[in-house]
Amino acid sequence: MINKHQQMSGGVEFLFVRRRKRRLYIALTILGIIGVAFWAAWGTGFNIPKLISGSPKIYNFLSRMFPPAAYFFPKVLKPTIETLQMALLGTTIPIFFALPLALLAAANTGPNRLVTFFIRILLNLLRTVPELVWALLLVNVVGLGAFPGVLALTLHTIGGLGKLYAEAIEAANPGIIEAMEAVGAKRYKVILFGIVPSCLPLMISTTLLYWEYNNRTATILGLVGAGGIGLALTHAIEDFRYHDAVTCLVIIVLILSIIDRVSAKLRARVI
Amino acid sequence: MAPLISVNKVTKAYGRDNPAIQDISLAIEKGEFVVLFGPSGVGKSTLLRCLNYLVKPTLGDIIIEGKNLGSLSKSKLLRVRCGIGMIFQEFNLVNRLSVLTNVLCGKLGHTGFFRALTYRFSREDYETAVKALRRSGLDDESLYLRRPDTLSGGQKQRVAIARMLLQEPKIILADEPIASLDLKIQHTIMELIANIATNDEITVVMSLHNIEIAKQYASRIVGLYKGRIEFDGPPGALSHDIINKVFGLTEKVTND
Repeated sequence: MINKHQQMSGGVEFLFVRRRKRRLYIALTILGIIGVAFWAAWGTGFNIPKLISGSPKIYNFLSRMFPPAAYFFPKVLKPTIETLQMALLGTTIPIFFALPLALLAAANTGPNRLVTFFIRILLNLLRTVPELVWALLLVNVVGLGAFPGVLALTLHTIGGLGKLYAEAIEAANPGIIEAMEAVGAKRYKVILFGIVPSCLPLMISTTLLYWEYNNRTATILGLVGAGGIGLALTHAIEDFRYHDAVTCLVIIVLILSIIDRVSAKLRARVI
Repeated sequence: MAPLISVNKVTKAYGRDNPAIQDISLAIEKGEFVVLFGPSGVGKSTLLRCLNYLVKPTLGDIIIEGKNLGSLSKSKLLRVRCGIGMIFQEFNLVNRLSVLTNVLCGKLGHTGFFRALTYRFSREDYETAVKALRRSGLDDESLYLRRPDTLSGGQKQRVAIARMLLQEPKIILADEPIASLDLKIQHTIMELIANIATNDEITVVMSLHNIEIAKQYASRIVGLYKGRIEFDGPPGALSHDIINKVFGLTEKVTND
């Protein structure tokens, strides 16, 4: 009897070993995260006393900002529309480049691995260079204004949409592709009838998401001279016209939240 | 006369694993109803897909009507595929296209560039598609513009059969066509395929794991075991010993 009991307790012992191990891993992970946070705080000069001692200045600053300047509203109307146009163009032009690039970059539609590999590198390059950096470079090439802003958005969005489109294509049901190939359809027909209808909802949804995101980005691009409401905001701050600056901020927040909602509604409809 | 389908010493290996099928040779005559029989993972699907070169054999030749598929250009291979209908366990319909357009996909081997690009088929194609749907047992016209994912399993397989009919195939390859269906509908679909095959003099190669159904419809059974042919003959010659061996019943018990 005793023997049997010992055997049984020995039988579940490994479960406790596992549990102890897991708890150790969890504790180590938490410690690790805290450690990294402290390292980053040290590196960035994160300083809570400084924040507290500076807080009276916040009141001072706010009082110089509020109320927003009403007269400035009509004056920023044009730059606001320009920002919206930048985002629209910066999302629609990329579609026509991203789709063919995605077909080349996706493993299931690309012609061969070499092409797929290089197109992916190209897409990554376009996407990893921040829009602000593209804008800075392009302002030097085509001059100030909304045009370099649109180009910056376009380049970045081609990279982003291209990658997401390619992922949507790769997620297409391989059975459908197989069925299309089995009827003797050429590759482009397999794409048109098998892949495009299956991926379209996801692609539309990602495009809307990018449109939403590009509106946000388009407002900041003005900071480097690439037009729109961001430029108006930058000028207002540079000239210490804080009431005007707040007007810009109010408009930005308002417009972006409207666009977020519109985009979310539309996305809910396509999926 | 040469057989309709010749499989000559075909081996297919995926990567460095053991080959899925090994050194398979088969000669299939016109009008035969061949069932590839065995448990899942035994290479039935691979062999079936080698027959229309959806899967390219590692070694050996597939010869259909005198054409060695391995030596054909891409466009000639597509021509051959046009004459080989295929249906699947999971139906493989495009859920975002209507039932009718799914059926019309059977014509894709012949549609011109511009028609394909604009998703427009000819009036005759539409008429053939509707005829094919009726023949597959879908008379209810209100179904034709619905999405396939709103249909039952049996209806989906009927749509897939209609798509295949549009190819006017000489050969039907069927990969476990009833494995995802309710028991009730399994015989109906088998009956449908068998009738079409007899009427249109189509040769059928079908993978199945249900021996009772295989025996009932096949004119010839090819039992696969570990990627090789273990049995090849009429259903009547299939003994219990062979069935047990093909399914590895005795081994399975000891292995697990």
